[in-house]
Amino acid sequence: MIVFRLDRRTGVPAYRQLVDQVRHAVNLGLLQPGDQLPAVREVVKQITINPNTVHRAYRELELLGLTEGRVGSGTFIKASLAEQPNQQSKLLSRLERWIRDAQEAGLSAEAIEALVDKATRQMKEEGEL
Amino acid sequence: MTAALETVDLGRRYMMNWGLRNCSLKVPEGSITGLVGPNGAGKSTLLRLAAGISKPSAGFLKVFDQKVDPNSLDFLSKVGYLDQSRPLYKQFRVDELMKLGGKLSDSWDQASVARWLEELKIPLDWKVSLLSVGQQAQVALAMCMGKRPNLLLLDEPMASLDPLARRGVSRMLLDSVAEHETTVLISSHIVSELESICDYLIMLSKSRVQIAGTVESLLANHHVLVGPLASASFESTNVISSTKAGRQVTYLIEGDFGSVGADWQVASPDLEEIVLAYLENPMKQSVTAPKGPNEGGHS
Amino acid sequence: MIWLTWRRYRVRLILLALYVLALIVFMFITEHAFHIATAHCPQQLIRTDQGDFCGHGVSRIESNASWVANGIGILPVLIGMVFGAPLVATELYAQTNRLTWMQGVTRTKWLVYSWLTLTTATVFLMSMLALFVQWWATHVVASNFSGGGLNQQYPFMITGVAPVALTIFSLSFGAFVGVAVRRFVSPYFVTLIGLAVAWTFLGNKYRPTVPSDYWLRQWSEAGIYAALSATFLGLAIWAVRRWRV
Repeated sequence: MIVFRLDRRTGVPAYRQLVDQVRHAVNLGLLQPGDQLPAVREVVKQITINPNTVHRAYRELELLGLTEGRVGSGTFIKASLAEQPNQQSKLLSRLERWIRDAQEAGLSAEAIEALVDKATRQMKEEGEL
Repeated sequence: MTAALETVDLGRRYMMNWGLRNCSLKVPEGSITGLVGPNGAGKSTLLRLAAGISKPSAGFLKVFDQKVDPNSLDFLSKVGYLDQSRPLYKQFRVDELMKLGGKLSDSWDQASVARWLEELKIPLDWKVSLLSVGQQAQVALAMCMGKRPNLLLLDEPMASLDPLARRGVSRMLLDSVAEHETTVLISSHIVSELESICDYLIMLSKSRVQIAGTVESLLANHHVLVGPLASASFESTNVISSTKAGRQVTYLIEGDFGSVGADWQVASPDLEEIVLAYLENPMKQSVTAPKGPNEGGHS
Repeated sequence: MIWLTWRRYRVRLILLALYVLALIVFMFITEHAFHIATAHCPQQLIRTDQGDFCGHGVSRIESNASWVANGIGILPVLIGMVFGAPLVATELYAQTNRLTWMQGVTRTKWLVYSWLTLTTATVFLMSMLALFVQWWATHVVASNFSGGGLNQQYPFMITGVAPVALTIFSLSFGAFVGVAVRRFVSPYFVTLIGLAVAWTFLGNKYRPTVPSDYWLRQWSEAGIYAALSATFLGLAIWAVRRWRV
């Protein structure tokens, strides 16, 4: 179980703080796949916060793929999250192969970074990322 | 957005004075909306009109798209109202008041009311007159919420309460909203408390609606800029307040301000600072506020 | 609403019941005394200064009896002031009407149910009293040496159905005053004045022709009071429905 905290002095919106705290807990292993997040009413009891904000945070977490809602039971950390490290290592080895290809084509390290940066920026602008 | 409460050019006059005038706004359904403004701006008047205790002198208003009719059982079951005076039968015991609630309303939730009062440690067998001011306020709110209305209208429920009692009121309110998705319209002078529980804010001044927007967008769109008096010019933005001290000037603005020089400080104000700026400048309106029929461009 | 009215008025209702009980007891006592007086005192000795009992004693009994009669007579006015006027007035003063209305009680139901509860309770007590008064008055007030009959002004107002009719009227009038006069102190005063006016106006003094038959007169007066009650109650309901801050 996670206990939420709200820092009203930072400029960060409340729902974002909740989302960040869950992500942080998952990264540190404090929340594991299958763990249940506290019900909205529980959170409202912990911190005096608008329930809509909690709903929003939980929706965001679901969109991020971190959690899944089970009807009637609550919100849980995605069990399939455990698979993601495998996916990430596969992507990592593919990226390393591409970088070696780019190196062989004659690009310097800075040029390679700039290329990646350009591609992600373009995709963001076009809404694909 | 579906509106729990919608007013169109609403006005209310007492003899020669208009308590409320040209008020057009929408309260989003399912939101907790704060209602702020100086005394006399019409906050209590608006709440009484929405509750059906007052009748409009001009314009009209709708609650959940229905006419406000205090003689209709359907309307009364949907709307709860807590007057500033927090009326209670002072000679009744707390449990007698709860019994009264059950007898008067079909949707009375005795279990929840008992739970709220128990969490607040209010003795049920005491006469109301023996309770502290804070406890009486909590009981009055519980009476209001007990019939599980869809729209809750609260007129300064936290005024004159110590911090612990205020906390109890907030928690009781939020617990009920979390369970039933009630729409709440709550007027208060304590903006910092509203900031934590409200997602929408409406600010009234004597002659206009100054603010009507989400708390999140208000916080995101307002900035405080401090810099030298000489180099200030913001044309496309809504300057809410400006304060000069010597050669330095402080602006609170709404909207984009482009890029400013290095000699300018930019800060994010909290809600209280924003509200104060509008209070000091009653003619200013946020872009979130609806424009009245008499207003063309404004600065 | 019924429970609420009872809870608001329970002390007053109990006191009223005790008062009625006391009146009944005093009626028994005075009737018994009259009974002895008529049995033992020769007509010519009554109220003369000769003899202890038949002289002064009978006068004393008669004055006691008139105190009882007064006690019965003021009851409708008292009920109007103590039960009728505060019905709406105290609610408006403490603003507890806003509490009740927002619980989901329409204004009509709020006024009618509370008025009906009070009226039922007081009419029940007054009816019990009226039965005893009828018996008492025929023995005491209309007795051989007290003279007159029940059809004179004062005995008329406290016998038959008049007390019940007056009570209903007082409650309606008091409730209406509470709605019309929206400040706390004066509803009692206005109710008292209003009822006093009704009393003298509708009494013998200003009525041109009076039916000679006792019961005919009783029922026609009751009818007038019933009509007035309905009017005042109707006005009160109309005013409350329209009322806005």
